[in-house]
Amino acid sequence: MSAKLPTTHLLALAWRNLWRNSERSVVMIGALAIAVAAMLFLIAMMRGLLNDMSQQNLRALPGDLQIHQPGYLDDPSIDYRMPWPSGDLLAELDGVGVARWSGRLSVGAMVASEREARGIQLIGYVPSREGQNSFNEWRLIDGDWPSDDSKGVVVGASLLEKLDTQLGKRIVLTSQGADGEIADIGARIIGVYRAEMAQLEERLVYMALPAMQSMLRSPDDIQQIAIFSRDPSRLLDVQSRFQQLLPSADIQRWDQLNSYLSAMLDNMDAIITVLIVVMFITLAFGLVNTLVMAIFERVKEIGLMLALGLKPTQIALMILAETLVLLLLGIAIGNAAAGLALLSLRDGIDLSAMAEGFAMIGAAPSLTPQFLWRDLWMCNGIVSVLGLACSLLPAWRAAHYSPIEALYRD
Amino acid sequence: MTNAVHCHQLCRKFHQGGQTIHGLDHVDFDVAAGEFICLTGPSGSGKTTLLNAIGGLDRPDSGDIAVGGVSLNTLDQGALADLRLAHIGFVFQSYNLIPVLSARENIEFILLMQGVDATERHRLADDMLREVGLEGLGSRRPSELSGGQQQRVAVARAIVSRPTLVLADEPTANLDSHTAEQLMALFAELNLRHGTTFIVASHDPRVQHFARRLIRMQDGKIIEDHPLAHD
Repeated sequence: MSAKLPTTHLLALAWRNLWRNSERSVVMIGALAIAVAAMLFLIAMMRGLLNDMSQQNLRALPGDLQIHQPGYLDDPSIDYRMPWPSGDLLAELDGVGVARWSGRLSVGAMVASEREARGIQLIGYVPSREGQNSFNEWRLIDGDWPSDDSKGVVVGASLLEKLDTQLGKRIVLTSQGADGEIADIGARIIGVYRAEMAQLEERLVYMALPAMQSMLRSPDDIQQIAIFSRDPSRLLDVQSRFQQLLPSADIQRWDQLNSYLSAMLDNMDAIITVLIVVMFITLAFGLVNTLVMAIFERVKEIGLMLALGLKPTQIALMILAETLVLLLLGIAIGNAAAGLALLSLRDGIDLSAMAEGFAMIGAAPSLTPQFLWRDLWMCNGIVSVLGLACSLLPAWRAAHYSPIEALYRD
Repeated sequence: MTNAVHCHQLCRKFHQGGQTIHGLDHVDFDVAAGEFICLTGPSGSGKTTLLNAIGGLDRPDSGDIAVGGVSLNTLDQGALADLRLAHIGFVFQSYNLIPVLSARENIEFILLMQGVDATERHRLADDMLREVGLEGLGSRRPSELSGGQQQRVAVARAIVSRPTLVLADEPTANLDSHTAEQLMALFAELNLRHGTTFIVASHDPRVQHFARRLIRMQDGKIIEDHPLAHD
């Protein structure tokens, strides 16, 4: 006959054993709960920050896929230009894999008001083709975005302030024309936008593509074709199709264009895993101590159970069950606490007092935590697995007591 | 016929403060199934050591020991645990109850490990509580029971599964005379009705009154072994 200890009884026994020393258990459960809540909260904040950084950066010059002339990315001048798409390229752009596309110009330029001059990035675009999630969704605080045939420019509020000018005034834009000569134009400020980051407001100036083509003396030319795919998971296929069509063109995905952001996003799970493990290691000492003490206080009882016929493996399972109950309680309370904290901050945290610091890392001064269910499972999973791993040694020790030595221990 | 217990040249030494103590010194004896033995002798004579060796809780340094024809020397801890669960009931010197379980749950613990279903477990535990005079106290935890009551729970746990062999170490030590009498009468009844073998280590003359064989030990040796005649 082999001893049976059904799971329900094992867990019931674990539950009662847990509350023998209620103060110690409460402290340990509390520590676990705080750690789990802190991990989840911190992860959500990190995700929120990264999400915001990517949104901000991708909105500046969006497109899942961008086509340029080779060399443009190293030297974004008008020398690296191409004609507006036609023929097979146009057919592919209007094909099934592409949700929408647009042609743009983007060159370095000087802007000057009556009082100040600044270096900027001048972007020519076709407003009617840009769609959603683009820079034209930034908050316009004055005036209008340009129409397709508009001649005016839209500047950021910060730049407006630096130039010491205002809406409706004329500014002078100077760059290099397609013929290699100085190209300049006087343009009226028709709109002022507010971006989340002041550095973008100061740098990016927008105008309609035809007006910019005219200024650069390069009618019908563009430097960039921005493609928005229908299915982002099939972006590699779309990229490969366009590469076959334009073998000499430089065709890059957004993650290739912004490799820093892409690396951050790719490594986020690894960073989170390391964070959870490091935080847990600090907890592990307390957990192991709690378990060792709990076993040390019950040596006689463990000896009795062995004497009555419980097998060493079942003793080990009993200790593991106690750890599991302890962990589940800590995790459940921690999850609830993190849930409440994140729920209360769902509209974002105002960090405008630290706006400059956040701008340096390309994030907005308002941080909205981003909760992902997989972070919850990962955090709970790692804590459970490591917690059980921590209890293996105490469980092994308990299972290997000699019944007689345990029974007669003082 | 297989003996309930067979011990041959059992030796067990302990080392204490540089001295070697002979817990068991070449002990030889056989116990037939259905015997009721009173194991007596002064403190430190080796009674508890012998009971622990027979129960497979402690391994002798040398000699052979068999329970129900099964040699304990060849069994590992897991197999010894199985043997104890299936065949042996223990009553320890101190009550040794599981403090987080109620009296009823302590009694049921053996039945639970044996895989007895819940209804039968409850019935047997209630019967046992009644037999040891603890009816109505089944839901109390050990800390809510007196020493004598705890000892009765320990006895009930030892015999509830009707083991073939009961090893009891001073089972009446904490009981008043009336309860001790009741308990021994219960042991005697189980012995007679079910053929359960009892080896009871005790100084208590009331135990000798119910036993049918007396083994006296001293310095780890059996110095006296004879049947007890009762009127």
